[in-house]
Amino acid sequence: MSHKIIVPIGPYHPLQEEPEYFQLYVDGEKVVDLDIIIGYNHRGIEKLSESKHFDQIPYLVERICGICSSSHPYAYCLAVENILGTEAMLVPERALYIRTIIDELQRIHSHLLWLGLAGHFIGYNTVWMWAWKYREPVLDCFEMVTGNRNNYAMFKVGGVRRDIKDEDIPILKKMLDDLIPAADLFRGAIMDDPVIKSRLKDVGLLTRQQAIDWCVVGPTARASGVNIDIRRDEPYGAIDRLDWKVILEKEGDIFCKTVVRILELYESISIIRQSLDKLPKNAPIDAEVKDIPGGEGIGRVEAPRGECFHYIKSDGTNRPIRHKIRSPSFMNVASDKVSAVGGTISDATLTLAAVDPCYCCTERVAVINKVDNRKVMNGWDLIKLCQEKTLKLKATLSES
Amino acid sequence: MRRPKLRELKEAVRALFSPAYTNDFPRKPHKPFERFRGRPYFHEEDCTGCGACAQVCPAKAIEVNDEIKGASAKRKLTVHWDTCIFCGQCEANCLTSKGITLSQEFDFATTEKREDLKQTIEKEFVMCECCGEPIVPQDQYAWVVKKIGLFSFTNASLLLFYLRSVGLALKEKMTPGDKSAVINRSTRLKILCPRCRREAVLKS
Repeated sequence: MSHKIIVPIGPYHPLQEEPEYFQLYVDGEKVVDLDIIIGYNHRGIEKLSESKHFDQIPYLVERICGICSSSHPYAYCLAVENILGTEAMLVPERALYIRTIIDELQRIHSHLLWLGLAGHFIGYNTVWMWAWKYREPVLDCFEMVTGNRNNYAMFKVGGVRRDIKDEDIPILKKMLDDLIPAADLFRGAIMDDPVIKSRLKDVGLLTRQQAIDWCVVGPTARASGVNIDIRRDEPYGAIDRLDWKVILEKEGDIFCKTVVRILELYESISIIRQSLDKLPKNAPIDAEVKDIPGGEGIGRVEAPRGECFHYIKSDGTNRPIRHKIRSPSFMNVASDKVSAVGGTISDATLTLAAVDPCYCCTERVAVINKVDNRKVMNGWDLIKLCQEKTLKLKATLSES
Repeated sequence: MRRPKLRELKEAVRALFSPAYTNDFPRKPHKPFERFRGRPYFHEEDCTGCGACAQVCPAKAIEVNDEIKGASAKRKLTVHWDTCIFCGQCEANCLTSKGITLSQEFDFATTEKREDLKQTIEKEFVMCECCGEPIVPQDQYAWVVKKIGLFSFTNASLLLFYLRSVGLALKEKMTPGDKSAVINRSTRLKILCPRCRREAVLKS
């Protein structure tokens, strides 16, 4: 294809997680092609990790992503523990439960964040404000337990660094109790609302076969009916001792992706409640790990966006000689190529956002008219367009 | 269609009549939680100057500089708050566990230069009385003597350091950086660096 490509300069936000650059090729209203260009945020973390001690790497890898900042250190710890044996063999009981609690709390806050931004994109700014309002108590609990709202510094090889104190447990439980009405509110507001339903239904469709072909992971795959969840397939932490189920939807449109995430909130709340009840009292929280022998290990964790994979190769010194990371969004973003093409431009923003990548990506979208290769609009225009479509839909629905 | 709207209306009315969810931050100070990880501070009296914090810091925010000036030497420990990531490794691995602690400060807004966002403390060295090389900071020697108690009688340097600190032995005049000093049997009763001690033991 010989397109005249116009690259919009800025607004770049390299501080954020995954700055991607999408180029939409349009024919009138319809998206006919999509270019995904990633790699703007290459920070050399894998190489940097080779220069750090095994004890320091969790602090580095939790800064890969600010939202799933417990999944990466967790996957790293699992990979190192895989060299030493298994997690269940090495890590004390109480630490397993604390790891599970932190991991699920993070899932709650990540899903609420996504919900809010999805609401913002379709023009429901109230959903945005409410979702972020109810996310705040979760972050407060993080600050109380781990000492920070993000970048928890909880994980270490062989256990956790900080204990959940007895006086924290009632506060955590109360936060979860208060979150249930909020989750009910969102479930009602999104699943019963005719405008949102008709706005999200059959938009950004990703069929089961396409999901398998494009190797999507996490909620994006589960919304298309692909039954994968690392928590069930390869249990880690205390998750296999608790009662929960994998949320599965069939259609694979954005509505299903939303439903999967909202229903996962309930599962996460239930997992944390059970873990807090079963937390062993007065038990150690970490095992002493002295030497990491030579060898290879992998760690897989179900991050809020899907499977997070870490590979560690050690030669017996106190630094790894190879550290390979595959984050979930890397797999999911590519599926936009099938889910966004064929739709309209006003749905494109939403479709790109539905896989839950970093949102700074949408700020560098350029639309190019296929007829005369002209740049028509940028990211903010697209969000506006997306919101306008909802308003139109609302008007037609209220008339009928 | 009506019922869901009523439910959301309830939330809207509740939000209307409840006070603002956000707080009036700059005017009303925010108090973080008790275990919040904020700006790290050195505590001069508890820090031994061993430099363990600099070894474990993942961001290399703690710097250790040894300055030798004639007969005395000083160790400068600097924590750079602009590169600090507030992980708490320094506090967790501190020899005395009180030498560097994370405070609750989170507000870093300043009109100073970025390079001035730091805290420096100085520690005096114990010098080898034979070759004049710095051995360890004095506070670390004192900490070791206190920690191992009677066992410090097995090491002449530690014993001498202890006796001098309580005033039982006379403080000898140090020979500044005299590398050509003769090591003989009597040298053993001096505070020596490991290299000189080996030599003194061999020669006696």
